[in-house]
Amino acid sequence: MKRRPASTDQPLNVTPLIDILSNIVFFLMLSISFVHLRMVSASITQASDSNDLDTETALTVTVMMGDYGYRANARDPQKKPTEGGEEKKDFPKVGDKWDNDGLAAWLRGIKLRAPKSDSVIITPEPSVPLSRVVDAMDHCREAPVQGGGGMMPTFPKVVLSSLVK
Amino acid sequence: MEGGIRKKRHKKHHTEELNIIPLIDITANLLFFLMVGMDLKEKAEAGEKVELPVSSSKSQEEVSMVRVAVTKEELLLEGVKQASLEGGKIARSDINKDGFLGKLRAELEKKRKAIEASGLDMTLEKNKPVVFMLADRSLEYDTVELVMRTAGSAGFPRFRFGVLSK
Repeated sequence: MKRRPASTDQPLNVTPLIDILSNIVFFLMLSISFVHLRMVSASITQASDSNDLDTETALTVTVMMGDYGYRANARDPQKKPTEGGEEKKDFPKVGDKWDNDGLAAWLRGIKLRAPKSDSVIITPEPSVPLSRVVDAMDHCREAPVQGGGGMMPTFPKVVLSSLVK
Repeated sequence: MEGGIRKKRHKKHHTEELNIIPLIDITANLLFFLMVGMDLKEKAEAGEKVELPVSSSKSQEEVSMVRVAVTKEELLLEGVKQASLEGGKIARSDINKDGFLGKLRAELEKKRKAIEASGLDMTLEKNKPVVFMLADRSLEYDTVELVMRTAGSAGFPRFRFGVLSK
């Protein structure tokens, strides 16, 4: 008995291919995250950090965070506090709301007076949630330009510190 | 009658060939874009348990980093558990007498020595070791600060916090 040669002109069956591809697409869509991860830079205080500061031109800007809100301080190492070398400002919390805009505006003013300053030391109290700390870092890093028209970088180098226990 | 049935059958078999090339093209494109957009790595390491803080930061820089995830239940270094958390605080048993996280510090010191042994010029800004921290936004600062202080003592004083863009 002779076998019939396999026919070559049969239409291609694409159903398994479509099945497999649609399954792959389904699993990929399940595993995909439409989350766009970004980064916020920070460092902790180190003994060598003081060498990086240009004390001739840079101010020491610190922001404390706690139940009281923000307590900001800008100090000129070249002048005594009594000679106008220190500027302080409190931004109390209103209920649960932090005065982020007030802090950003104050820091913008400091930046305009001392353009070479680019570091800020944030010292949160132990109970402050991380989300609030990140918020503070955002508002220290940049501020809205006065009169609108985008954002200007203020203190992009953020150092996180802690209160001595 | 018989002839009529045969005619009908003949018509049924006469189908046009399906052109699947556009389908394959579109599917391949779809797959490509899905794979580019995939963010499986972060998910696997953080175990999807971390609710990241939200930030206006646009930074997405590529630097060599050691990944630390702090969920409400555990602290992971490159996906390996280093300490437990109880009520959002690191378990006392995981804190050594110096006030650091003993296991995390030992592991980070090993990593730092490995980086140093690789011959990288650590004085260059781009080569300075960085910790990429995926920490839950509800954690209190003292928990995060303990992790940072431990990393700092092991030679990793620089951090990048993973955040979600606003």
